[in-house]
Parts: sequence; C-alpha cells; structure tokens
Amino acid sequence: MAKFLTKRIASLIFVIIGITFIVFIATHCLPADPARAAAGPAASAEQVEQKRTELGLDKPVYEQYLDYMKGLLKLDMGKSYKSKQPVMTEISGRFAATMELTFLSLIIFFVLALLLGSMAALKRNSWLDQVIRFFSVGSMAVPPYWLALVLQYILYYKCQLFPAGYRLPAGTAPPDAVTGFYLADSLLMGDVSLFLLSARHLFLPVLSLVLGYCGITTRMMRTQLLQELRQDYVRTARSKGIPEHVVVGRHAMKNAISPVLTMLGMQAGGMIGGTVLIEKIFSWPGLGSYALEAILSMDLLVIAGITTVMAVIFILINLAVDISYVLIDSRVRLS
Amino acid sequence: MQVPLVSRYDPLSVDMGAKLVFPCKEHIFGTDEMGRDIFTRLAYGAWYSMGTALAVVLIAAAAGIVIGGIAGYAGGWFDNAVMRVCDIFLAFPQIFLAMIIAAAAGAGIGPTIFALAVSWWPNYARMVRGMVIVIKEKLYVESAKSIGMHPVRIVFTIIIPQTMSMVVPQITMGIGNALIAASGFSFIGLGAQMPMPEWGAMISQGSRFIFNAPYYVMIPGIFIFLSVLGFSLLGDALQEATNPELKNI
Repeated sequence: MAKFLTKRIASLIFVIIGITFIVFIATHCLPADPARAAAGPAASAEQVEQKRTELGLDKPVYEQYLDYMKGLLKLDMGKSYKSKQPVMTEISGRFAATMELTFLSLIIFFVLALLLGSMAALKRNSWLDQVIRFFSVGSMAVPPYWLALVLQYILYYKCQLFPAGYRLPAGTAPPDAVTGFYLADSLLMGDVSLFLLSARHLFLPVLSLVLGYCGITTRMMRTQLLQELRQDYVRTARSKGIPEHVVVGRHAMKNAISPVLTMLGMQAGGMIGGTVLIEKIFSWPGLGSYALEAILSMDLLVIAGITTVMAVIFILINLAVDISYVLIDSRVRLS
Repeated sequence: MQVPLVSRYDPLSVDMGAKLVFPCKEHIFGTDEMGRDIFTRLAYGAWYSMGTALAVVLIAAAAGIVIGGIAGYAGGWFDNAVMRVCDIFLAFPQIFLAMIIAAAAGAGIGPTIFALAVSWWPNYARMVRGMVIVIKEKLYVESAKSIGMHPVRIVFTIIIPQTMSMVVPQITMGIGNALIAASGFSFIGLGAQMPMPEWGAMISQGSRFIFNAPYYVMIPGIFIFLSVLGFSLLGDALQEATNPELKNI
C-alpha cells in the first residue's frame, strides 16, 4: 500500500507541475493586456508600463513562471487585478461554497447511481429496469444547465417549494465558520432551523447536478452488475445455498463497483466543471461563478489560481478513487 | 440551407411589435425579446450547433487517432511522453481548460471549437493507443513488417483501420457530448455571440425571461436534448453492431 501510494503521489506531483505550466502559458497568451486591465481603463501609457513592471510582466515568461511557482509553494498566487486582494484570500472565501455543493452532489449521485443501477440489474427486463434505463439515457442527454433552469422554473416559480438561489436568504446571518459548509456548521452550532434553511437552498443546485450527471454511472453499474451475476463464482455461491442478498451484496456488488468508481472519478471532473454553469444560474457564491467573472474581466492570476485549485481537487478525488480500489478489490492489492 | 422552405421568417430580422409572443399559429414556437421567430432561429441554429459539435469531435478524434496511433506503435519513451501529456490534459476538469483557451483566443464559435478539441483529443489518443498496442502484436502486422513496409504505412493503412469499429461509435456519442459542452459555452457567453441563432446562446438569452416566457428557454433545450439523445442511441446501435455481446446486456 505504501509503495502504491508513493508511486501514485510521485506521478501526481508531475501532473500538477504540468497543469501549472499549461495554465500559466495559456493565461499569458491572453489577447487582452493584463497590465492594462490591472491599471484600469483610464490609465495612461506610462501608468500601464509602471504596472507592468510592478507585476513583473516585463520579465521573460520563464522567469514569470518560476516566480509563480515559488509563490505557489508558499500558497501565494498573487493579487487579483480587479479586487486588488490576494487570489488565495479570494479563493478561500468561495472554496467552501463550491465544495459543499460538489461533495454533497457527488455523494448523492454515487448512492443514487449504485441504487438505481443495482435495482435495474436485479430486475432485468422488468418495467422498473425499463424506467431506470430510460432515466439514465435521458440524464446523459440533458444539458445540466438547461435542467437547472427548468427545475428553477417549476420548483421555485410555479410550485414555490424551494428558493431560486444563494446559500441563504438575504439578511440571514451565516453560521460561525468552522468548516465553511453551512450544513455542517449549522449542526455544530445546534441551529436546526438554519440547517434546514441551508438544505432548502442547496436542494435545487444539487438536484440539477445529480440528475444531470448520474445517468452514465447508473448505466455502468447496471452493466457491471449484470456481467458479474453471470460469472461462475456467483453460480457456485448460489449452488452452495448462500442467500441471494449475500451473493449479490457481498460478492457480485464488490467486484462490480471498481469500474463504477473509475467512472465516478471521471464524472467528478464533469461535475466540478458543471458547477460553473450551475453557480451562475443559482447565484451561488462559489469558485465557478468567480471563475466566470474572472474570465470575462481577464483577471489573469485569478483564472490561473482557480483552474489550478480545481485541477488539484479533481486529482485528489481520483487519488481517493485509486486508494478505494486497493481497499475494495484484493486483486488490485495483490497486483 | 433549406430553412426558407419551412419558414418565411428571417432569423435575424427584428420586429419589436411581436416581441415575446407566446407560441401560436403565426409563430409555432413563439418569438424572442426582439420579435424574432424562435422556430426559424432554431432551424438556422441547427447548422451552427451541430456544425460546432461535429467540428469539435472530428478535430479531436483526428488528432487523438494520429497521436495515439503513433505513440502506441512506437512505444518506449515517445509513448511514455505522450501518455504523460495526456495525463496532464485529462487531470483538468475539461471545462476549465477549455475556458482558459477560449478566454485566450477570444469568444466565438471558432475559439470554442479549438478550446474543446484541445481538451478532448487525449480521450481519443488514450483509447486508440490502447487498441494499437494489442493490434501491433498480430501476425498480419508482423508480416507487413517482415516485407519491409514503412512503419507509418503500417500504422495508417493496417492498424488504424482496425480500430475504427470501436472509435466510430465513440465519435458518434461524442458529438452529443460536444453539443452539450459547446452550447454550455454559449450559455456562459464564451461561445456563439448574439444575435447568432445558436441553441445555447438562445437558452442564455431566454433565461432572462424564463418566468414570463418559459417557452423561450424550454424549446431550444428540448432540441438539444433530442439531438444528443439521437446521437447517443446511434452510438449505442453502432457499438452493438460491432460488438454483438452487448445486445445480451
């Protein structure tokens, strides 16, 4: 396990360096002049040049990259041209909002996909199987941002069941920040009404992400479980009189789940990306909506910072998936 | 373009006297905030939306097939280097990589195609490379080598055609995903720009009027949904045709 982890982490460091390089090069190819953006539209040519020197943008690109990497090691990503605040401060202020949305969606999405996929496989060719298959094909074809608008229209505007956006209603004080996750923090404070209020605000964005992304994983779970249920070891277990729930739950399911976990890791990337659109629709004050603002205002260092943070989170989720293989599947452990 | 056969309206002409008209006999899908006929705009928009998706997938697949094919056949340090570059590209949530490229290249359909193709090619490269590694050990490839055939010819005339039965269904399904991604770009303002009648841009524009003119958002979304569904089912059918075992699942 230690050898596996060391190897995996070494390759991750290489990937992270590659990511920072691509992000840096891409953001330094922007057609807009970042010195002009930082100095403001009314700045004179001299002021723009002064800003360029101040930000180190007059140095050769490789020196700028090395400076950026040195800063990153100290968790310093520079200052936003727009707000003049450190990028790290800006990101950390919004990080928890995005993570609460993403992780909650990922957990619900995984449980739902496992449940629906297994039910479809166990009731193969029944009406339930047909309904779940229809749902998963539909989920794969629906644009998540459009689904979010439809849900907002029906559940907020028409039925008035859930709020249209934001983490809490205007004027409501957020819970004391311990984790930054409003659900967890309100529980830690023992404030059940604040917990329910946060949950109501999370409902529509989470539902949009879950329904928009769980189709392919549901379908994969069904296929994998059906394949496992046809294996010889399942027939042997059944012939030995082992109860069906043990055969399925303890044997077939365990083997079917590994490829589904890979899909979960890959889907996490799509979901992290999907938050950009979902946060825009629900005015969610997270990294996705901030990234969009930064791109539209050409805030170079913010774009680089958010992309790097998002990529690292994606990598860490996939590392967790790899570790879970080792824990779940003894064949991987032995190899 | 055969749209004039099915609609007498112009997709760009403004008629402020008919703004946000609910679907009726004159305008079967209603009109937008500038009085433009939504059905006409959807029909013209199909060219932009489908064209963008098709271009993304074809460019990404072509690059992926060539790079993955050569890497798989060459093996060694070249294969390793290409796979590490793929690892880096695949480690990005794709929309962020594409957003950076689109921001660098500017907003519009061209930059969107470029941005999505750059972030998608590693998927195809990985898949093709995996198949090439298996195919290159076959006897007929050994025979081609033994008669002195040039490696580039072996890759492109013998090995790559063998991978097509797996690649073509993936490309077909990819068109649907590209349609969702490209329309998402237009939705956030990085893709097609108004007044271009692209489906994602229409949803973005319509989202400002969702509570008083919901059809403006719903109808373009249904068009995207049905198109993606179509490509997805076609991809499934092609996959089943090339791998009959899938029919039993």
